[in-house]
Amino acid sequence: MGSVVNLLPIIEKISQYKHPGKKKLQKIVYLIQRQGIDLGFKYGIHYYGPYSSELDYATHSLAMQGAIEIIPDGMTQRIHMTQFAETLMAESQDQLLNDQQIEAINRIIEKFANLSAFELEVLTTTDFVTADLYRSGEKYDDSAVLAGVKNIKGDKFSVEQIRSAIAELKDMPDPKV
Amino acid sequence: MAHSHFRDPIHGFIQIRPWEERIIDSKPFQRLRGIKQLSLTYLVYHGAEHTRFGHSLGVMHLVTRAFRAVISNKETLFQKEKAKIAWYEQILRLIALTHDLGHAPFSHGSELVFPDGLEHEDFTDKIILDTEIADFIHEIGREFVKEYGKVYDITPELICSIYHGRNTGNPDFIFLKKFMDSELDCDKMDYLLRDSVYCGVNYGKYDLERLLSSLTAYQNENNTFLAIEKGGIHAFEEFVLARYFMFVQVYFHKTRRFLDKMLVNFLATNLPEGKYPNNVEEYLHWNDARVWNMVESKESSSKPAARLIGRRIMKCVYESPVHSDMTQIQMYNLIKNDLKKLCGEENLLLDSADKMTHKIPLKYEIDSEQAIPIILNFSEKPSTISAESGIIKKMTEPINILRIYAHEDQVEKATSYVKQRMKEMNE
Repeated sequence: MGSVVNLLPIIEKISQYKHPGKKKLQKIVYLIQRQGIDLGFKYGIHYYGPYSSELDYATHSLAMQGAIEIIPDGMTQRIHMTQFAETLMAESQDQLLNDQQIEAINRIIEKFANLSAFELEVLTTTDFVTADLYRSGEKYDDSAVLAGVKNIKGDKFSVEQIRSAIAELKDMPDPKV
Repeated sequence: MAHSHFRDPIHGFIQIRPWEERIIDSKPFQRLRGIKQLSLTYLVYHGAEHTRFGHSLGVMHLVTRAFRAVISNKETLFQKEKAKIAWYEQILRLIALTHDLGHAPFSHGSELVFPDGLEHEDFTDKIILDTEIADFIHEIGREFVKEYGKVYDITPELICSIYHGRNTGNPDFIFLKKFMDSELDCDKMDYLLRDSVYCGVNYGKYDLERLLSSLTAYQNENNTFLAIEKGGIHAFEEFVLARYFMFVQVYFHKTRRFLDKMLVNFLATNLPEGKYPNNVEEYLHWNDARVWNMVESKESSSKPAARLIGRRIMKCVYESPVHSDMTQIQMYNLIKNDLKKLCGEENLLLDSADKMTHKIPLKYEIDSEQAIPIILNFSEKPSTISAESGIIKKMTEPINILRIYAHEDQVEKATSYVKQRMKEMNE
């Protein structure tokens, strides 16, 4: 796992969008890593799409240090940075990402953070299934991806939603094998 | 073939299947006899000499009982398909048996010196995939193929991919994973009881039988969730409380934390390049005894080694409340900064609970991936333990213990400063 401090600018940026909860953070960090910026969090497929327990613990760790606040909001949670986050980042200068990486992260957040948690779930689940097919080494096409998502999610996502996610993911880099 | 048994101090007889016995008798698994479950905790609670070996057997035993309880309580699950149920049970048993194979010497105590980017789970994968363990798992798979058909094969890759959630081929695999990784998993069930007994404390005990008998499955249109019946809520409460008390009293004990830090400092300066080897064959040669021999041989030249051998503990001169709020965190930071100026940073050692978040019971909402739904009698919608239990609501507030230790030469100065500071703040 990488330095948890690098989550702080991501949380700050996400908190400018609607419903900045832990679920949205999970999916955005997943997409950031899939674009080649390794923040060190391992993901597995869970009920609501790709999820990293390491990221969950890291988020709680930041809350314990007083750098972020996780506030219950109905059925879910909101998350935002506190003033102490600046101090923590200043103390951890040597572990921070470089400007180029932060710019790339910001572009990804700007592209995806407007999506709802559900839309992000469709997108990241579709990507995870695609990555699993890629790693299997066998040939696959869009219909195999669609069948794979249907297999694991049942009727939760419509065919149109999955197709739209497949189209959105066309430029995603190949996953690590 | 006949099954054999292990006599376990926690669970009594643990039944083992023939190919599982081959795994247990293998060199990578026998290595676990030399990896203490609780690192250097035995230097605090002298009974804590138990190892990952017994724990791995215990988790396999519990996961079998838990899975069977769910099958019995939720009769419609898997449509009573004998082959599928046997297959899932065997997969769970293998995940449980092998899940800790990659632990470093002294378990979590020395994880900070893994080769860059790797964690003990990565070594577990390597050991399952690249050693004789793989052959034995294939043998089990062959038996399943012979008895139930090709789709019921079990491979090392399957075991790793389900445990790490990398397998998207079957939605039931997500459900299976919850037995090993959730708010209420069999790993925690075993280690709380085991650690409690070996440490000679009662904090980690809970009503295992009631908890297991309350396990069930909750199904919505898309998923199957590991869940608990309303009647088991008090056993679940006990379980979360046990975790809380074990964290505060044992896992985050101030002396154990200090000694763990000394061990890491020692290894970082004495291992080749300050890390364990990346190569799995070489890695498997490392156990507690080898590390401790190194520590003993460096007693005269390494300060951390001398502290470990002589059990010389720096004094904890300040400790924040268990659930520190923002004001208390600020107070800690103030004291820390002043002590750095007064005593010198090199004479202080700082520690905080956020390094061990995985051991702390946390508050989970119902849509959290780690949450265990509680089935309510009066509502179709399940709830969570944090919502249903007033006690747990408090327990799952962030645990924020922050500590400052001071070098022996500085203890008097630091203690007197902290006392004065606290007096001023309370006036």
